[in-house]
Amino acid sequence: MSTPTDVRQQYTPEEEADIIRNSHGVPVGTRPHTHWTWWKVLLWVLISLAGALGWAMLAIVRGEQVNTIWFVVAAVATYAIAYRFYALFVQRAVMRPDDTNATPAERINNGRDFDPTNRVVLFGHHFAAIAGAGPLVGPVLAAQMGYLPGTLWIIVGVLVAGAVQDMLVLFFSMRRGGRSLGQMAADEIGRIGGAIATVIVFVMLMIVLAVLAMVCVNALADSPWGVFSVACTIPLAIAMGLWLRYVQPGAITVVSFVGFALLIVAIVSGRWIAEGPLGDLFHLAPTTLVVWMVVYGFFAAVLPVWVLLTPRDYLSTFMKIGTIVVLAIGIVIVRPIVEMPAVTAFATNTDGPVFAGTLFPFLFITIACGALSGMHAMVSSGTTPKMVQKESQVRMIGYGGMLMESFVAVMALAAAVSLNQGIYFAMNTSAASMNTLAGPAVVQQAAGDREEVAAAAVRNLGVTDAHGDPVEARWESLDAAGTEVTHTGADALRQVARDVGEPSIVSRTGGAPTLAVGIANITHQFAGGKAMMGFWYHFAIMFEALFILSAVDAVTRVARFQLSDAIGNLVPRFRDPSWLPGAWLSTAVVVAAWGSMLLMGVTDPRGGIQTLYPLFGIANQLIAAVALTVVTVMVVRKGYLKYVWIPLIPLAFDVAVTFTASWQKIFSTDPALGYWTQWRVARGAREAASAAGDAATAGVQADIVRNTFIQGTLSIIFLVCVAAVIGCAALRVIRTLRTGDPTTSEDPHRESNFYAPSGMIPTALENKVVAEYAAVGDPDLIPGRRHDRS
Amino acid sequence: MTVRDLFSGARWWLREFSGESAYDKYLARHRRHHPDHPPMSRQEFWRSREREVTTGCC
Repeated sequence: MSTPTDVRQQYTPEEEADIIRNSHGVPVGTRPHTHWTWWKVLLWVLISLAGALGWAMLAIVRGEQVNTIWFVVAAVATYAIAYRFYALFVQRAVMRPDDTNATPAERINNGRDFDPTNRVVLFGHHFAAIAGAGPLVGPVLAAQMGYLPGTLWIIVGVLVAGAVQDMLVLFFSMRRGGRSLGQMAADEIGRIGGAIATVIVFVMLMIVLAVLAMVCVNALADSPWGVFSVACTIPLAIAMGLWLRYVQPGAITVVSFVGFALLIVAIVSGRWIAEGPLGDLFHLAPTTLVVWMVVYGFFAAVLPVWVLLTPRDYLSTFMKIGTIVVLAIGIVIVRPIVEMPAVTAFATNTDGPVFAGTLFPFLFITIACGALSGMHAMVSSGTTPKMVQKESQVRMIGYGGMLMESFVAVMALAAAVSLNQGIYFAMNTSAASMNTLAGPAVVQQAAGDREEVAAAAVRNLGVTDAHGDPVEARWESLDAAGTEVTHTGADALRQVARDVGEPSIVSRTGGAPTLAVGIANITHQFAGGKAMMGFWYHFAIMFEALFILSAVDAVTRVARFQLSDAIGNLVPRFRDPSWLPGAWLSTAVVVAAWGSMLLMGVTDPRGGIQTLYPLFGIANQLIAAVALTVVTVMVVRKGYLKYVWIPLIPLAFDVAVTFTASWQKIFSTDPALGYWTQWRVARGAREAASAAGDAATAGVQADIVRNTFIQGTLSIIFLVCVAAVIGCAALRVIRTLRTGDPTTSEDPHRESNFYAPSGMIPTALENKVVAEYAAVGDPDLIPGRRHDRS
Repeated sequence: MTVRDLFSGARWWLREFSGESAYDKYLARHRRHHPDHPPMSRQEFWRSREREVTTGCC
């Protein structure tokens, strides 16, 4: 055991000068110091060259054989440079972390929500909380515009927008005791602006849930294998929950491993169930799945968390890490060739079969998570700020965590664009668009054979592949004798379905099935061959479904509490969470809110992804606009006007994107785009059909009239509300500038008595200080046995 | 660095990530601050600290 003096003597005078000590002489931080050595300069030169090479291969060289490995090279090199230079600049300009100031975790340190958590562990938790189905679905849908626009937006967007938003919200929330975005909005821009922000964020959450649930429904509908294996997670989670409650409390690691192993068994056995006599039982129509989803969401939100939510989160985390690792290994080992051209015609016209709209603004709302996501502001102002050990760690956790998510999005895009374009479009075009594309003659002749219709529709898309040839579905597979054969057209689509163990892959919109085929297409090449394709496909589907189900029940639960609180202002009894009728009623309202929108999307005659996804993207990016507005006001009020461009540039771009997109959705006269134009067209068609006595067509048109009315109305409400929030914020900024109002909503400085390193890997000096702190520090704060030695 | 170190290192990280180490930390802290009364049992502890969920991913 060393005494404090022993430890102190280990420092050289230069090192000692770099150590920040509090008034008791306890070390609380180290001064950031860059000693540029020749090898460090060389390293950054090499990283820059690698990045330049990657971008050159993607954007300039192109050619017919672009390898997906260049996505990885370009992304990683660019992230490294941005993290090292831009994030550090932002940190010094507008955050100015002060390690003599105690974080909320250190101040309260209750061992529960305010818990100083090892930075690497917290990085993992934060990443797990922000990364969901979003970064995987968006890039897949945006692939209809080609690989280049999506890649550029994901990588550039994250650097200047998404990661900056996450990091700044995390930092400012941490300086305010971990307050939520809504509370900070009320503090910074006034009560009215804050109230609008809170309500609108709640409504947007319902849209987000409905669309995520729709992705899940589309992936599981008419898929007995998928339904069985995903359904298995419910009894499995309950069993884990019971075990952890009554048999081995706290044995999380072991129980999670066993649960994960059983999950794999559920995926594997799904094939036998699907092909056996029980197959029909799990062959569910989309609307049936909606009912199950709603019932599930209700119970997951009212039951105690230990029954279902907590154990299912353990499984979902395992699947998350598993899938990301498998995908990363797959891309590095298999290095698939890109099949999609750099840019397709759908970037400039509104004929896109996956979603309608030109590159600006619709690319930027389709790919939200991975580049910029408003939802992250919830996490960054929720659990994470209450667990940060030291202020200087925020860059690694906030900015670094978002870079990781962006990397996941890049890999999802790589998996989608390495899939044959014909198969991509056959999977992502809704049944209605497909009929229009193929023409009535083909539809009639095919007599319900969707593969034939899809093959004709793909031929009529009017896009070319990477070689400039017309797009055609093409798929390599093995015949009964084990020799390789290439299937084309409708045959290829049937063979894909056979290879992945699904009844059909045509019009499986939503992105999840496409990504699953993409992942299976890569992973089977290094693990298991064609025989394992079905497993990998359903592994990926399981991963997406688990993510989405976790989001559905977690958000339902949180929204239920928010709603109870709001009603509690009028009927105080609703505030009591143990009053069951109140809990059930508010849960039912929340479930009905997203459930009705989910039903609307699933039964939408024009395809729910086509019509609802833009609304989801706009909602998500509008939440980001609210978050960036709050951040901008905080930067101004803090007196850093010189650097206000740091949050203002992403805010301005985000506002331009979301407002243009909303404007087009409301006012465009292009029936592919404008909700109200669709509404008028459908109303005319409904009356014409009723007059002609065609009840079926009239019914379909009536659905379109109703859906477009709801979607159009929501678009208007969102736009007006966010404009109001930004207006309130602008007034506040003007007032602050005029009065020079120095008040801040930050908690006052309180001396820290804690030391932990700042970066992922501690420096030599940081390791020495950790050793000193272990001897002289507060035992309640000293981390476990291994300290923070890495 | 022996195999044993590697194993215990991996175990430490797993327990930290999963949150399993919370009970041990609680015991240590309880001993420091309240040596006069017995700590909660494993089961009581885990029941007392059921975390409410928060909105997560997109």
